[in-house]
Amino acid sequence: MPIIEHPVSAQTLMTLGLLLVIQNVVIMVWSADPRQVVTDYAKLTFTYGDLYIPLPRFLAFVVAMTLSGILHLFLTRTDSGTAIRATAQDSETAKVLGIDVNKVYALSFGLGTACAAVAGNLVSIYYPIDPFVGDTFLIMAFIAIVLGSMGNYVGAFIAGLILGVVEIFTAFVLSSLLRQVVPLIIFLLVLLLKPEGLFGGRLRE
Amino acid sequence: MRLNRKAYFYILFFIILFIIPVLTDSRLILNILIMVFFYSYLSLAWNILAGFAGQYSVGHAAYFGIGAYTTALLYLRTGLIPWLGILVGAALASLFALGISYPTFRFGIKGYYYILTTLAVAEILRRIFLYWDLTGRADGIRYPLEPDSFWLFQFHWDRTPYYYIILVFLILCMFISYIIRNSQFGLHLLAIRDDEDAAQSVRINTLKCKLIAAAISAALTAVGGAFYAQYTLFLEPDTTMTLFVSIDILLPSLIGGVGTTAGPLIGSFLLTPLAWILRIAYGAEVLHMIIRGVVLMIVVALVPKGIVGTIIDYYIRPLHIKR
Repeated sequence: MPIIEHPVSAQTLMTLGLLLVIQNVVIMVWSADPRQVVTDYAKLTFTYGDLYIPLPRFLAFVVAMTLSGILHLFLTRTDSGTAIRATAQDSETAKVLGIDVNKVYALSFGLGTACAAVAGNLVSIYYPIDPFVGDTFLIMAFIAIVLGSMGNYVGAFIAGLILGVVEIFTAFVLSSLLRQVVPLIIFLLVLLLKPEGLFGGRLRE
Repeated sequence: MRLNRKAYFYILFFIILFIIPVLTDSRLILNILIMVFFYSYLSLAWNILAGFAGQYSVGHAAYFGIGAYTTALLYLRTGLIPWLGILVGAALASLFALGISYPTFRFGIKGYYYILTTLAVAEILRRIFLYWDLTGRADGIRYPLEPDSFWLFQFHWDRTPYYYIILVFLILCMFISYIIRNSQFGLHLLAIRDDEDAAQSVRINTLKCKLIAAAISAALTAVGGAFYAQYTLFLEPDTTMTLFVSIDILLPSLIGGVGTTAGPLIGSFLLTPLAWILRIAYGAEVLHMIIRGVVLMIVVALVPKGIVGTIIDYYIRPLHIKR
């Protein structure tokens, strides 16, 4: 039985297993030392009024926004994108309409992985990376998805922006050690009080 | 008749385990067996909530950490002997589990969302422990070394006391599991796991049952955490409370069979020595973490019921039907 037909909890455990394997293969091959991609523009900053904006972070922002835009166009303007959205909405009906649902799952999983990889690339230019760097972002990504309503990618996008701001404010006001605690608490509250997320949508399982 | 045979088998099995330290004083063998019992124990504790009540928690590292830190801090700050500290830790972990579980279960969080909730709770607690002065921040907590003593729960060269202590813990935990499994409460939990709405419709108080299961599971896990603290005499949030600790706790059950009493034991007997051999062979954590990931994936994909569950399905159930 392909893993996609297992309950979601089994799929989650499956991906955790994959995480263990990939992280440790990376340690084996490249060691666990933190590294950073050093570019010519790594230390450049530009000012806009009173704001100091580090160029690498700004570039990461621009690329992420562009990619989100392209993703949006792909999901709304192409047949494959429409098939993905249809499957997310109602996989049974999608099947009846002749959509190869398993292909759609494979495509969306691959697409999601590729986007995450681009994000990893972008992070490496302004943030020290080690094999475990993904863990922190992973949890934030979960939060963004649930906050922005599962299956609603525009919601996830907005939730991601909100979370980023909350995280930085927490780091600024409280302590950078607690930067992810407040977003996590918000996540728990949303799960409890509005489990369908902030932007409408439906529950899985 | 069958039950008796099973009981005899267990008694024989544990008698053999009790004799082993008499036969060998190899620290390596004893250490490996201690770890085997330790993970069996933790997995059995996890199994009460996940296996019986069907609530897959990926946040047991939180209860583990509470047990470990409470015992260590009480000893360091007030001199309370670890044996009492363990009880306080277990009580605190139960309360914490109830505090977290009440809203979670009350608002009907299940399945995938329950996994995310427990993951988030454990992560919040880890980050708070990393920030909190009381818990020693990222430096962790180091025990002052005392001479070997049962009351202070510290032994240095001789592994035998640790061996017997964790073995007794394991037997107690198996006993508790067994009693729960064969009680009316246990049947209620199984009913909740199989179909919560149906269980509720026959007037099972599902919220209360799940809460009790969570509290028992958390208390037992905290005792395991306290043992870990006394065994390693060093605690830090990044090794005691991460997601991977939670995975270590649930993996033996997954391999052996979630919801069975023998499953976690079998899973740990297979996985833990393998992990040690690989660690010795490769000299680092890496290889056995890879194997662990591969095993997790294989088990989830191919034998979702675990070894014991699969055996029951293929051999024992058909026999019952024939009769």
